[in-house]
This record gives sequence, structure tokens and C-alpha cells, in this order.
Amino acid sequence: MGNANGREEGANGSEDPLGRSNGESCGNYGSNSQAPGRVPSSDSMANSPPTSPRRSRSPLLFAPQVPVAPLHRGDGGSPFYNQAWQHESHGAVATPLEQGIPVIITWNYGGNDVAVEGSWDNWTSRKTLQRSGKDHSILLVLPSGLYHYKFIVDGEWKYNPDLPSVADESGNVCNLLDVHYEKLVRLLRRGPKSLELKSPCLVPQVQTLDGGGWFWQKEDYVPEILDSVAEFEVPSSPESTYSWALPTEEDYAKEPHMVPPQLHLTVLDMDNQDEASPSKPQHIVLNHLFIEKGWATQSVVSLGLTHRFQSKYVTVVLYKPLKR
Amino acid sequence: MSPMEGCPTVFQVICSLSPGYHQYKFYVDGEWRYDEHQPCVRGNYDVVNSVLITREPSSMDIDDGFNHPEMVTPASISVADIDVSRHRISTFLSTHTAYELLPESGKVIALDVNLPVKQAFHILHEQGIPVAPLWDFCKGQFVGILSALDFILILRELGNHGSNLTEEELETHTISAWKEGKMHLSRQMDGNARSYPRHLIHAGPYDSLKDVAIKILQSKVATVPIIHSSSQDGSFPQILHLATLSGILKCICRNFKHSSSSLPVLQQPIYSIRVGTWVQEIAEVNGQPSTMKRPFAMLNKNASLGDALSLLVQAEVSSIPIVDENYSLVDIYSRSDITALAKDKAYAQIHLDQLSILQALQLGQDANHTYGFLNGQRCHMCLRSDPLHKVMEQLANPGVRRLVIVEAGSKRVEGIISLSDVFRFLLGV
Repeated sequence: MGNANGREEGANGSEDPLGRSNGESCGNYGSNSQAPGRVPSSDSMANSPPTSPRRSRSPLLFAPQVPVAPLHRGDGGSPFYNQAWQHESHGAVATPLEQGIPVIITWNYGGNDVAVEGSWDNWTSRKTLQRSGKDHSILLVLPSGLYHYKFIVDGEWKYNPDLPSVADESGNVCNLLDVHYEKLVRLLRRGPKSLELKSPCLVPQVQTLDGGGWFWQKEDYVPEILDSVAEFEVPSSPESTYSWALPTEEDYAKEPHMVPPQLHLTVLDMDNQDEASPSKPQHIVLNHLFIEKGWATQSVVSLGLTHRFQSKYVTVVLYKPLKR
Repeated sequence: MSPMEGCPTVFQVICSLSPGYHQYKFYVDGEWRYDEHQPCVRGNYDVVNSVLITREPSSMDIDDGFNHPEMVTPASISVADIDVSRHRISTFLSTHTAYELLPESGKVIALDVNLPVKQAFHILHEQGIPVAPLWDFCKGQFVGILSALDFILILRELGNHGSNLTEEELETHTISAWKEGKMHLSRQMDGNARSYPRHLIHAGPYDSLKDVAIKILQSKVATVPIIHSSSQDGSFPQILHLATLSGILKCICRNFKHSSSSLPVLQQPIYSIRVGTWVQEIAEVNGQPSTMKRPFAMLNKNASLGDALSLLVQAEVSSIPIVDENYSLVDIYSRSDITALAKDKAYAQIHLDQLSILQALQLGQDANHTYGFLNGQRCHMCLRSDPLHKVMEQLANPGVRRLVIVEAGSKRVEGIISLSDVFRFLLGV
């Protein structure tokens, strides 16, 4: 076990161009989680050592397509939540609470020294772009919103005419950046070949990736169940289960099965606070109908249900009178 | 400007300026500079300093009315600026949907329409929510919303007619029976059959924010439930969220926070753009349009709860500032404060006309509810000179639905600005 650990860590430590999922880049939410009830991953994890909190894993196996924002886990029992995301500082201007989204700004028109200034911190700081050949780029983490920015190329103020831009009252032209976190999905890197991304909003140019990294593309919804990833073929039920007989009287006399302990982790008990949003419910409690304890003696009973709507969760509590 | 005596690094000059809003900038050794320690604003000439010059009001005597001078409308606001801002906000709202209002993990509390009204009252109070959608099991639909206004009307009914309902009937008077009765009542009062909304006003998660906002403004409700139905005929509806103008405002603020220069109207003080409802004297001075005919609703702190409730219903407002003899703000009574009466069944023991408003508010404050509180404060105030964006940021906080415009220092009530005022202005409705 220790060996296996060491091997993986070692592989991780080097400058591995394959996208690392140990939180160094763009918020690796949840993929280290081994909480039961999550999307089945045991098959792919068969050869990995169990319960090792910050253990990294090879990139292709598991990545839930969830929004980037680091989410709080209500159960508190998940030691796997990766804190590294929150201390990321690429000169980050977003605090963890604001759920910053990484965006890439590039300049492809040459120049020796390219920097960018923008309205995200009110034009106070100037960030130098990293150069690779003729291209310059920088990764910024920003909360969602609309930003103005401009490039300083070899000491001259310039804007990129290919990107969305806007002119203000005095005729200055700035580029526009629309950071929109509602419709994000993390693009799973599907293989060693390079990937072409075209996204008018977040990644302002066509990017060619040579392995490596997570990038963002506007998508309409974020499914939690990954039908499209081959590793997640749901195995069909064993044949024998399709021929069970109906329950008999004896079966009804027995005690009902124990409620799985995970179902106790419901958001329904939490107080209705409007400041802090309740934590994201566990996948396991979705679409289960809960009834208030001790309901038999009361005249009003409350029923609760949590379901998912696209990438958001809604808990509905209904109060119903009981007829006597 | 000439250097001060004894202090060669400080310069001063005396200018005679007319009262109003001015901007200025310094030209230092050939360079345009602004003073960071003085109020400044980003305007047409990059960042400039700004100063507001007003004359002292000559007396605090009510009978004199306000001796406030006319404020000069700042030259930098023009109809074109307002139009540009409105257009940008309208574009933003049209391109974003109600789905964005949903929190990551939200909670909605619904009530069965056959629940007794009394129970419903208690549930709203315990859960600390102001409104709840009503679900009808027989129809399988959401049929309405129960709000604080319903309770106010019920209490007034009980107060007016003694108790037409016996104790037992009160226990079992269901919400649906109440809603039926209310519709009859309103038809009687109106005479001509104004079309009372019989169906629930709701929106879907893919409706644009602009449609939702206009729906809220036009139906004069506070909350519009977002309901999604996966089937064509609207069966099996799922309720997703209760949308309010405050949520939409939060979206706007979040989006434009970093590019405020694209909305020039936000820098303007609310007085000059005439947003909100103002007391009579100021409204006249400011040349408010003649639609502002309703007198501003305020109550003295010694008024009774019965008066407050009557005023809330008749004036069709959602809150009334409570003032003392000098018209200084003491507290504010909103419709949603009525649920505080559910504590210890106070509503059964009181007479509306014998309880003063302040005592009624005291009941609510004894309960540990954070609803409506922000930083422990119940009344949220602002000044007439505050720029619109500051007012909007305050209103975007959950639980804050209105700001009372007060005079600095004396806390004299000058007006009220609410979410619907801001939206009517921004959408040009």
C-alpha cells in the first residue's frame, strides 16, 4: 500500500503534462471522494489503495462533471474534500466564497512584453502574461460578472480586435470579458491527443491543448450521471432478480429493512437561514420522500423531498393536515 | 490656488458655488490630479472629485414645511445616459433566465390548501418565512400563495365583526375557504367586477429575468413561484424557487459590479433621478410627476396596531415608517411583521385597537428570528444624496425590501425607496 501510494505520488510530483487532478489546477471537486452513494467508481478504483485523502489519481478515470465552484459538503465526514483549491493563488482576485472561475486571456500578436490590466481590481494591478513563442497568456480566477480589460504591449495600450470589445465615452476601446459561472462544465480530457476548444465566452480564442489541464466550455447543463463516459456502464441486474415472487404474508410480518444510514444525511433538518446557503445534499438522499418523526399523533404532518433540477438542488417541504 | 500661510505644501482657494452637485479636479504642475481623500467619482473625465453643497435647513418646525433648496440636477446626467443604462440592463435581463435565481441548494416550504389558517400562521412564524405557495392535492397543482396580507385581512375581519366564527370554526377554517371568502369580499368592495386573478401567477425556469420582473411589477405581488413541469399539459409541477425582485437585483449587481462605468445612471444620487416615494413637501419641490398623488403613509408611534393594519390595506403599501413628533424615524412596521403575533397565540388575546405598534413590534423582537434583520438592524436607511448603486447594493441583501430615506443627523423621514421603485425606474415601466 505504501508502495502504491509512493508510486502515485511520485508520478504526480514530476511535471506531468497529463492533467493532474490533485487540486493544483482548477478546482478538483469531489473526485477524491469515496463517500458511498456517489457515482459508482469502484471498478476503476480497484487497483488503488483505499482511503487516502490527498492521493492523486491518474487523470482519465474519474471526473464528475460538476460546476467548478468548490462546494461545501454537509456531511462533515468527508475528509477528502480538497482544500488546495481554496488556497490557489494565481494572483487570484476571487475569494473562495465568491466562487471564482478560471479564465485564460491570451494575446497572439507578438511583442516582447505583454501585460494586462482590468476592471476586476479597478485597474490597479498589472499582470504580465506568460510567453510561449508568439503567444502570451495568463490564467486569472475571477468571480462571475462583466469585466473590461486592456493589454499593454511593449509599453503601449492595445486591445485585441478579434475579441468582444466596447468603446467608452472618451473613445477608449477595451476588451470585454463575460465570466458566467452558471453554465459551466469541466471538459473532461478524453485522451492523449490534443483537443481543440472553441468557446466565445470564456476562452477567448481557439485553444489547442497538448495534453494537460482543464478547460472551460459553456454548456447548457451539468449532468451528474455520466452516461457518456465509457467507464460508467451500469452493470445490468443479475438475471435471477427478475423472477422474484410477490411478497407473501410472512414477508409482511417481518420487520422492514433498516434505513441505510446515508439517508439520515438530509438537508431537511437544517435551519432556514438565508445568509449561508444550505450545503449541497448528498446524492443518496435525492428523490426520497421523508416524513416527520412522530407524525402519527399530530394533526399536521410535514413531508420533505429533495430533487435535482439541472445542476441545482431543491428541497420542498409540504405541510399537510391529517384527517382524523 | 495659493499656499496656506505657515504650511507651504497645502494650497487653498475660495470659490463661490451655487448649491448643488459639482465636480472638480486639480491641475498640478502640468498634470491633472484628483484628491483620493475626498469623495470622488468616475465620470466623463476619468476620476474627479465631487462635492455636494446644500444650504442649512432653517428650522425643524413641521408647519413650515421643508425649507430645503432646490437641488440642481447634476449636469452629467442626461436622458441619453438614462436610456443607455436602461438599455444595457434590459439586455442583460433578457438574456438571462430565471434558472439563475435558484440557489445551489434551495428550500421551499409549501402548504396544503386544506390546512387550517391558524396552523398556517404558526408554520409561517416558526419557519420564519413571509409567504408560502399553496398546493392542492386534488387538482395536483399549485393554486395560490399565502402571504402576510392574508393574515392582516383575517385579523381585521375578526376585529370588525367580533368573531363570526366560533372558536371551533376558527380551528378548522381552511385556507381554501378563506381564499373563497376573500374573493367574494373584494368583489363586494369593488362593485364593478374587476378581474381578480383567479389563477396563480407563476413563471418557468427558462423565462427571462425581464419577464419575471415585469410580471412581479404588473401584478403587484412580491413573490412569483418558479414552477417547472416536465410534461406538456402542466401536470406534475415541481416548484423550484420563490422569485423576488431582490434576487433579480442581486444578479444585476453581481454582473455589473466590475464595470459600473457602463451604467452611468448608477452614479447619480437618488434625489436627482426621482426614484422612490417622497413626502409631500419634497415631492412638490422636486417637481414630481403628478402620478405621485398618494400621500405618504407614516404613523406616529402611539398609533394602534389596528390603525397600522388599516393603513397597510388602504394605502396598498407594504410597510409604514413609524415616526415621533419630529417626524424622525423610530421603527418601521411591515406587512410581514404580522406573523409575530403568532407567538404564544397573541392574536387571540389582543385587541387590535388597544395594542400600540411599538408593543406589537416588541413581540416580534422577542422571538429570535433573523428574518428581516441585517446586521441586527431592522430599519435600513439611506440618504437622498446616496448614489443609486449604493441603494441597489443595500436592496440586494436578502430580507431588505425597502430603504427609508432620511435626513442626515435628524433621521427625519423624507421618503421610501423600495425594490419595485428601483425596478420601475430601471425598466422604464
